[in-house]
This record gives sequence, C-alpha cells and structure tokens, in this order.
Amino acid sequence: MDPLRLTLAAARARLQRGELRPLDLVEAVLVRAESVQHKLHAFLWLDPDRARAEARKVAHQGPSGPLWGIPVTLKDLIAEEGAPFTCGSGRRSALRADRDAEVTRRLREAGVVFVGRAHLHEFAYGVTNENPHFGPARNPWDPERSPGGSSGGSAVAVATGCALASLGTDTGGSVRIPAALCGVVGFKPTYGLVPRKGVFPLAPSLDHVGPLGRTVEDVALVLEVLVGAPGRYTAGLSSGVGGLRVGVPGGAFWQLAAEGVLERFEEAVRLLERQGARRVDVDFPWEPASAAATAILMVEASWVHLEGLREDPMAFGPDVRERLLVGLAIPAERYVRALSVRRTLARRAWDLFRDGVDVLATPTTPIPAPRLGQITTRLRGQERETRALLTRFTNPFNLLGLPALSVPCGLVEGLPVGLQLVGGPGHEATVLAAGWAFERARGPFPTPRV
Amino acid sequence: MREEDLPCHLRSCLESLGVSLPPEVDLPTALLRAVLERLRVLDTVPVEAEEPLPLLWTEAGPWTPSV
Repeated sequence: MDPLRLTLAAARARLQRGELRPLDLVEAVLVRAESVQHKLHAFLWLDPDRARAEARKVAHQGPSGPLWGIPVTLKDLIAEEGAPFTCGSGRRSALRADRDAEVTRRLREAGVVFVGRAHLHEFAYGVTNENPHFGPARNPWDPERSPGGSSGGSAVAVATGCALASLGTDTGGSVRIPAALCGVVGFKPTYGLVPRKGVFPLAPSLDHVGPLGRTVEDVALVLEVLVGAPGRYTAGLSSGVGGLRVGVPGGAFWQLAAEGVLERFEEAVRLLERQGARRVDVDFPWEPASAAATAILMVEASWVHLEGLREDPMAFGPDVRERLLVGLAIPAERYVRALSVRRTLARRAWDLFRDGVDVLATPTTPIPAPRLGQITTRLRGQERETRALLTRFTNPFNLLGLPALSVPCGLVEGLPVGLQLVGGPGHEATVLAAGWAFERARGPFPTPRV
Repeated sequence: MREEDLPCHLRSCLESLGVSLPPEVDLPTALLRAVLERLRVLDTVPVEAEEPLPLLWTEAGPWTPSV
C-alpha cells in the first residue's frame, strides 16, 4: 500500500470497513517518512516507535471516532503532550509540551495517530521555511526550492504521503502558501472558529489554525473534527457551483502576478464558469489591506516576543530578529491607522459578500516556489522582495478574518500553483463546496516524484 | 519621520523597551525604512471618522462565528 495514493477519506472508509488496520497504515506512512525525511526535512522530530505505540493504542480502542487510525502531523507550534515543542526556535529545542493544545485534544479524541512534529519557519514568522536553527525544509517538486511557509513541513509531509493530513497555522498565509507551492490543499477558516489554546502565537489578532490535506474533502473532514460538527462541511460538498457568483479582482491586480500564474488562474476561473458559476469583476484594495496586515503583524509579533528580545535578541535567527526589532519601532500612529483601515475594509468586504459575490477568487501566490535563499524575485521587469510577494494575496484575508482555501490549479514551469477561494465570514461550507467542484472538474493532480 | 532620524528612533525604541544588541550588530534601519514606506498606502484609505477601533468579530452579529 502506498499512502501517497490514498486520500484521508479513502483511508477512513477502508479503516472503518475493517479492510485496513491502523498499524499497517501508520507503518506505510513511516516507511515514506523515513525515506523522505533526509531529502526534504519535513519533520523537526520523528519518533517511529512512539507513532507505532499510538497506533496500537488506537487500534485496541476500536473504531471510536471520525478520524480513527488516520496518521496526522502537527506543525511544531501546536502543543502535543510529551512531544517536542520547539516552535522552530533553537532556544526551545529541549522543551516538551506538558499538555495537548485544544485542537490536538480534539484530534486525539477523534482517533488520529500523531506522526512526528512538522517543520516550520522560526516562530512561524516567515514564509520560506528557511530556518537557521534546524536547516530548511525543501520543496518536493524541486529540493532546491522553498516549500513555502511557515507551515512548510506540514505541506511537504502531506504532499509526499508522510501523513494524510496536517494542522498548520496561518497569520499571513502560512497554511495556504505552502499548500499552493507543494501542490496540496490548505484551508484557513474564519477567525476564531478553531480554538488557538495551546498554539504558540505569532500575532494574536491575525492567527488562525487550519488543516492541510490532499483533497478538499480531506480538509473538510479534519475541520469538522476541529469544530466538533460532524457532517457540517462534507454534507454539502457536492452541492455544485450553479449560479455561484465568483468575484475576480480587476485593475492593478493583473500587474501583481507572474504571467504563468495568471494563465493557470484564468483557466481555473473558466473551469468554474463551465460548471455553472458566474464571473463578477470586482475591485479589491490589495495594497492597503496587505499593508495594514503587515503593520498589525509586526507590532503584535514584537509584543509576543518582547521578553525573549530583552533576554537574548541573538537567540533569534537574523531574519526573524530584524523583523521583531523593526516591529518595536513602528510608530503607534501607524498601528492605530492600520486598525482603522482594517475596520473600514472589513465593512467593505462585508458589503461585497452580502451584495455582490459568494466567493472571491485569486491566485494563492503571485509566483511559484522561489529558490531557497532567493531574497528578491524579478516580476514584470521589477525586482521585488520575495517574502512580501508571497503574502500579497493571502494576508488581506487574515486582516479580514475571512475563510480562504487554496486548491492546486496547475503547474508553472513544472511547479504547482494554487487557486485561492475566499468566502464571507462563517461561510466555510460555500468555500469548500466551490473548491470541491473545482477539484472534480480539474481532475487528479499529479504528485511529486520523491 | 525624516530619513536621518530613523537610526536614532530605532535605537531609542529598543533602549526604552529594554532591548540591547551587541555593538557588532547593525540596526535594521533599511527594513524599518522599507516598512514605513510601505505603510504610507494606509493614508490613501478614507477612514470614516466615527469608526471605532474594536474588531467587527468581537461584536454580536453576522461576523460572529457560529461555533
């Protein structure tokens, strides 16, 4: 059995029918993980014996929950009792969590088997997963490239069959960006829907926890467990997109992404139209939304890490330290202005989703995976900072707290890119159904050769 | 803020918050300059004067998640 060929939904059905045993599934996943780990570094910690012991315990309990026997990995920022809790920081390398995060507890109750601790950008403060303390995670489509971040290890693990799902966190795109760059599905729900207790913060008013999986149905199944609502999202997945109003941003938006990415995006929108969706051209304030998200993120992250900066600023990697120091020097006037802009744009977004569109569609990232160490990227004749480029289409929806899904929509020069679908607040089901319809129309997505 | 004031501003912010860097570490003045430049776009959004600051989702209503 090759876990790379198995979706979570298919494995779940086979486990519940007794055609597959939890220990066999976990063993197959561990074989993949041990072979992939030295090439791609998806995990910061992998303890096969612990995973086997968990699988035996789960098997002994019998089919007891909706995710019984499913191997899942957690970003090493989400507490898992007894396991390392580094948050990608060298200074925390000896720490172990003394209790589960709330999401960990809910998954455990649902019967999952935890496999390893997924790699991440230091303290989730970056989108390339280049980590000076532990080395980088690598993209399964090209190991010389970034898998995206900050939940890079989660995306690599899912893309390579080292887990059937993962949980990441998303403060500016950290679930959706690695999902897009590794060719898997990632979902950030409405702000506050999934509890963050036991999850190390980056910027509390922008932080979200969300699942990564191989299909839209897989992330919907995990989300149902996270919110304790069986069937809430899967029941309506096949409702289709007939009459769905899909907002497509116009104007300067088209200058913000690489041509190949826009071609895949246009094909994706046309595919939705062929399924019955209706395209609606809209304006979206990308630049102020992204800038407000940046200001709030930098100020809040510096506040979260102030004690650490006082104790030993040199314990942070250079890129994270620079951003934390700058966050301490952003004038209060700029922060308050960003909060006011957030409020204004949230009201406009509410009007847009109430009166004009059901979902908004964008590329998830303006570019495919950058090379490791690539500080700037040439885009339409201009040299731009890679980090800011990668979050351009994602961080506005952290600012606004809206549910946003990334689904693989094609390859650009052999690298996957994602379609982002965004809904109104609380409209997870609409977004997931649109993503499912797109995925069905698109057909099977290729897997990386690892 | 004037360009020549940025290093002094950054240094005084760090000092007032009790953060001290080893002398060999450069202050991230270039990044601060770039961030403040980027934040200028915030001034292009006409913010309604009566808008209070609390987030919409802290209030009852359609923004409140259902769980």
